[in-house]
Order: sequence, then structure tokens, then C-alpha cells
Amino acid sequence: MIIGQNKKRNDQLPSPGDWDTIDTNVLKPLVGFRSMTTEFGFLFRHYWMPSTDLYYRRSIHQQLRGQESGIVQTVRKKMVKCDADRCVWRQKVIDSNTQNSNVVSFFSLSTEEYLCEYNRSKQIFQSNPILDFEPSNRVDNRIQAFLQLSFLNPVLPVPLGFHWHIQSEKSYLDFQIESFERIGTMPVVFVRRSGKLTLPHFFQDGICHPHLFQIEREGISVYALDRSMIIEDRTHDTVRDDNNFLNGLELWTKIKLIKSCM
Amino acid sequence: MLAPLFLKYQTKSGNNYLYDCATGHIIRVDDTIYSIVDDWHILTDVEICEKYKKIIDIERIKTALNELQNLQKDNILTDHAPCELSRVERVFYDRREWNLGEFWQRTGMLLILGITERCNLCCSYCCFSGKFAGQRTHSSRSMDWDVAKKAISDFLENDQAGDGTCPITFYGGEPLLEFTLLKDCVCYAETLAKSLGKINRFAVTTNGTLLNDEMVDYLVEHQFLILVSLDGPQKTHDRYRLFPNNQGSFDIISRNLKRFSERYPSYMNRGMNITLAPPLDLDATAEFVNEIFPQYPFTRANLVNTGNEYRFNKDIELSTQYGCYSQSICKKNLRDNGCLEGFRQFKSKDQEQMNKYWNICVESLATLGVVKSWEIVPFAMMLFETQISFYHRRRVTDQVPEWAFFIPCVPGFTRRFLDVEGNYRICERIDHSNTYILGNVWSGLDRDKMERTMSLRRHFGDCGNCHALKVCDICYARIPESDAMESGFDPFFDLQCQRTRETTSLLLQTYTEIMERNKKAFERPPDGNLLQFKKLKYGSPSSRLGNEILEQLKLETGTVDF
Repeated sequence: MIIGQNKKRNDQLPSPGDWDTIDTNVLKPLVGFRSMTTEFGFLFRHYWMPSTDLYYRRSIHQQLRGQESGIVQTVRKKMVKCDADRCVWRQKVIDSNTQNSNVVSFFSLSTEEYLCEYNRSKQIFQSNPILDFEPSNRVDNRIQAFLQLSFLNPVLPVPLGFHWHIQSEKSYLDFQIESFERIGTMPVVFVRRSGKLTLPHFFQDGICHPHLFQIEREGISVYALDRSMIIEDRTHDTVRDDNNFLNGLELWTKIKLIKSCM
Repeated sequence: MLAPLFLKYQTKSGNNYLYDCATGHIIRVDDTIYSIVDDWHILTDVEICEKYKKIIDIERIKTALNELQNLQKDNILTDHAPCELSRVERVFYDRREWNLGEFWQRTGMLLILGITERCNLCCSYCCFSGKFAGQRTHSSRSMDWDVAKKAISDFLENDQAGDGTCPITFYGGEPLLEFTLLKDCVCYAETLAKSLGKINRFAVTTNGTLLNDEMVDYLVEHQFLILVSLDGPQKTHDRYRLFPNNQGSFDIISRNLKRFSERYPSYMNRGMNITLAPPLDLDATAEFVNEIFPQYPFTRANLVNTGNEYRFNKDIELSTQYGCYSQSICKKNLRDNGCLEGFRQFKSKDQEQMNKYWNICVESLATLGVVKSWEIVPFAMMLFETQISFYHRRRVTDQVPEWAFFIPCVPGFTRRFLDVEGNYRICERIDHSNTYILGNVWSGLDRDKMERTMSLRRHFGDCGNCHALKVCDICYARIPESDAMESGFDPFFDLQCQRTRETTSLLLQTYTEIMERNKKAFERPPDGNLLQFKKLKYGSPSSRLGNEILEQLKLETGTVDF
């Protein structure tokens, strides 16, 4: 049951359906931005996982020149350190179902266990396999944060319609608090985002391919106020590639919370 | 549970330290622990061995891991419970009574009566000059007797400070312009206090231009703490502290103070408020302070208010941070909001001077100790000693705190400021917008408004997970009023927190280096016979139990703690 000011959004609420049931109309672009400048790093002060153990299902469905492929993975995020400057978590990925392994992705889908860190002061996101401690490029890390840290929310309470903007060089995302609603007794807030990201490489078959291209991203997150966590996140990415290598690639990604525990 | 919250740092002598944020312990550790501790709880023990085996002997790594576990058995470096500020706030509200009890013991309570908005000076840097957004301007308004009387009676009758003292401060404008009202207040407060078995303490902050013999006699008779605003030698003072006709006020103030000293040469309950405005000439100011300090022991120095970022920059802590922060952070702090007045323009030369006196303070503490330093270099101590000593007086516990949130100020309780209209505000430092009104003299403090004001702290970030939470000194005066305040979304707040965290690291390191050189550096007279120390009401620094644990640690693990 949905209680709230925007009951017509029933069809946009998280459902147990598979990734291929995503209604892309949900992901229509934002309108009416208020100009609000926010430094990139500031926003990520709110990257926050109060649960120490989270299980998500990540589903990616993509189309490139008529060919479809997809992957379903279970992602376990176990928070190991959190202070006001940084969060560190261990992230383990398990393949649940693979239609076609030839999936193009903007970050590694490897099933290795990763150590992920977001340092808010230094504005660095790092994600390295455990025991692989070589630091990677800072700018790249910032854009990776754009891609991977979908669990963003401002310090609440904020008013309905609240907008904010993050930018790193040419890449940017605009966020908006779209509505406050209830799923059962659980109060939730819908956060919509859209923007353009310029990326230096992509992954395919576990291999990193250096290749400059741009994606247009639209997304929506459902944030559970009581639990202080994202319970579902959806994105729709469209690739613009001047070299026509990835041009036209579309990806629908859904991340859905399966289980959380302290 | 997550990895413990701690800060690790090295001193110039090469020693390694961990500051345990939960208990406040500072622990010296060996190189191995120092190297691996960042990965402790993040990687497994096996992974840590794997990572460091090329550079550290595997047995030493295992020993270090064992030592860290042993520390945890003593409740040091315990696992961190993730904590969101909103949750901490709820806990805080639930335990308000308990928490306030702590505050009564620590700071007591202070009533500040802003008895008039009139002033006979027209200081160009004054926060009431009209150049500061959100602040009132001088006016001809003064407080009604009924308002003052009601506030005093409420304060005395409801005082819960516990020690029976009821400090009242008179503030303005220039409070001596309303000397009759001031005397009425004192007479009423003393009569009422006597009937209630309490003791009054009075203070007045004045520009000193009206301080005639009659006033001096009265203030001394009632044992007032008399604070006169004087910025230093004439050349420095007369730059900004002017009469409306642009005439400097130094001559008349110094004449009044000279008469004061002649009439009451042994009266020590007095001091100066020195506002440090650029361009600084700290050597001249220091010379001035050295001369007057023996007779004006309550003298203190504050940085001038530079603009919106610090509405009312009277905290000596800010000058500390200014001194500590070189280059990048400093530039942000002193960012000007379009105003080009000289008093807002700190330059690198000013910073160099602050850094010089920072070094003097540190060196003096390390070699002479706190008591002797106040005698030899009072000005440097005035600028920085309080902030460094704060780390010596930090709370050290031997138990894992159930909740470790520390709020330095409780609006309405730590102190309360009454304006001429009868509104209660947080303190005299906070701007005069409606946001900070906590109630009024007729209906009392409004609990909802107080809680709302306290909730403003949430804008400062993730306090529940901040390693500086026990030593945070962020003041409500640093919360600018804006739309962002309502929405809780302003990078300014973030900057404040970053500064505080960086300052914490720097001050911890400085404090530790001083203690390495002189373990008695912060020892104070037990009877507080040095007047400066009477102002410090925080009590002893470390808990007895904490020190006992440290003794054990020294034996068992080779670690030491200050």
C-alpha cells in the first residue's frame, strides 16, 4: 500500500520483477533545475551505509545494435570502517545468472572480492581487489564514484523538490528529491538523477579497454528513511561514442536490496 | 561493529601515537603497530600478514596484532558502532536531563544582560556597525527595568548551577551609558540572592570611555569583573576604535584606566579585550600586554570578525586555528564577502606573525610549563594556550562510552543572552536574527525553539562518526543563516568540519610533542592561585581510572599515555 502525496507513482515503486520488466518511462529526465552549486566532494559526505552487511542484486540489461545481453549478480557490501571522512567496505560479487557474458560495463564486474573506499576529504573513490593495493588514477576515481556510488542522499530533512548538482570536469549529475512516500509503513524518499559522464574506458569479458566515450544517465533511487539506506536504484544509460564503437549502446541497471543486517 | 575510530600521528621525535577517539587515550605504539593499524579490522589477520610480510617480519606482525587485541580487552581502541547523527540526536534528547547535569557541573550558567543598544563609539569593525549581515545596528533602545528584573529573578530562582553562584554580565552597546539601570539590576540581584542564599558575581564589558571615579568605585565595591576593550598601543587602537567624529578613543581610555589603577592599585578583577585586526603588529601588542598583564590578568585577545563566515569572531580558539592553519585553509577562512575594509583583509604577513607567536607559545610551554609561561609570555599564551591545554583537559575514560557525542554548548543553558526587547538568545556572539531566539523573558525558554536550534548542529555533518567529536569546538556562531541552513545543504558546514578535524590532528601532535619534552608542562597550581586559571572551570583533565589503565599498559604492552 502506498501512502503519500504521489500515489500515481505506484508503477514506479520497486517490485520483485526481473530487470527486463523495468519501465523506462520511470526514467524520464528531470526538469526545472534550481541552480545550486555543490562541490563534488561535499555530496559524498552523505554516502552512508548504516548497516554493516548489505546484500544487493544487481541486474544489467543491455542492447547494442539489436543484440541483447545481460547479467545478474549478487553483491555483498560489508562495511568495515566508517568515520566522518571515509567509508571502507569489502565488496564481494557473485554471478547469479548470466545470459550472455559479453556484457559491456563501465566498471569491473569481476567476481573477486574488492576493498572499496570513498574518502570524502580527498574526494577519492577506490576499488581494488583485496591484496592489490596499487593506487589508481584520481580523476578516474572521481568518475567511478559517480558511477558506483548511487546511494547518495542529502542530510535529511530537506524539502520536496530539493535539487543539487555535482560535477567533475566534464562529467556531471543533477539530483532532485522527487517525493516522499510510504511503502507499507516504511517512509521512503525518491531521489531522481540525470547527467552526462565522460568515461576513459570500459570493461568487457573482464578486460579493461581504454576508450573515451560519453554516457547519458538517468536514474532513480528509493531511499528508506527509517533504515537510512537505498532499497532500490535504477539507471538507464545511453552511450554516445564519436568513434562509433559503442554508439547506441543502452544499459538498464537495477540494484535491489535483498537483505541487510548490522 | 566497525573498525575503531582513532587518529594516528607521529611527533618530531619520531614516536608513533594513536589517539583513541572513543576513550580519549593517547597511546604510544611501535613502528609495526603504526604501520599495520590502518588495515586492522579492514583486512583479516591473514590478509594483513600477506600484505606486510615483504617489509615486516611475520612474527612481529603477529605480535602487533596480539597487542592491539590486548588493548581492546582494556576497552581501548574498541570497535566502533556506526552512528548517524540523527540517531545520536535522538539519544541526546532522550537523555537531556543527564546530559545537562554534566553541563551544570562543567560550566555553570551565565546570564548576559544586553541592557542597551546605544554606544558612544563608532568602531569601524564593530559587528553592530551595519557592515555585518544578520546583525542589528546601534540604536537608542535600552532595556526596560521590568524586563531586567524578571530575567534576574528567573535566573536566580531557577539557577541549577549547584555551586550557588549566579554570574551576571552586563553587555551593550555600551552598558555604562545605562549606569542607573545597571545599579538597579545589581541592587535587586544582590537582595534576591541574599534571600535565596546564593552568591552573585558580576561582570561588565565596556569601552572604558565613560569609566569615571563614581563608576569605578561602584564596580569595585561590588567586585565586578571589569573588561575594557582596548586593542593595544595608541597607534593600533585608534585605527578602528573611534568616536563618531573619527577621533581616536585611546587617550581618554588610558586616562580613565590610569585613574582606576591609581585609586585601586591592587584590584585584580579586571582585564582587557584586545581585538586583533589587520594589519597586525603583534610585537607591539605583545609589548603592550606584557606591560599591563600583571595588573589586568583577565586580558584576552581575539581575532576581529571578518565577515559572514565568522559572524562574531571572539573565540580565542579561532585565533588558534588561524595560527595553526597555514596557506590553503587560511585563505578560505578569511575569504571576504565583497567587503574591502582593512579590518577584513588578513595578509600573509599577519599569518607569519601569528605563526611566530604560536611557536613562542609551544616552545614556552615545553620549556617553562604553563604557569611560568603565563608570567613570561602572556600574550602568546593568551592566543594559543587555551586550545592546546584543552587536549590536556580532554575527557579520558576507561569504559566504552555508550554514546560518545559531545556538544560544547547547550543553547539556553550554558549561557543565555537577554536583548533589550526581552528575547533570550544563545549568547552575545550570535547574530540578532529571529532564528536564534530561544524564548522571551515573560514566557520563558521555548523548548521547541531550543531543540530546533540544537538541531542546527546536524548541518555540521557526521558527528557520530567524527574522530574530533570529543574535542570539537564548533560554535553556533559559525552557523550562517541562509536558505542552506534550512535545507541542511551548504559546503560551508563541510569546511568547518574539515578544519576542526585537521586542527584536531595538529593540536594533538603539538600537545604530544610538548608532553614528550616536559611531562609537567600543563601542571597548574592546585589552588588556582593564578587568576587566569580561575576562569577554567573544566576540572581535572584525565580520569583517575584512565591513568591507572595507562600505568598497566605501560607495564603490559610497553605503551604510554599522557
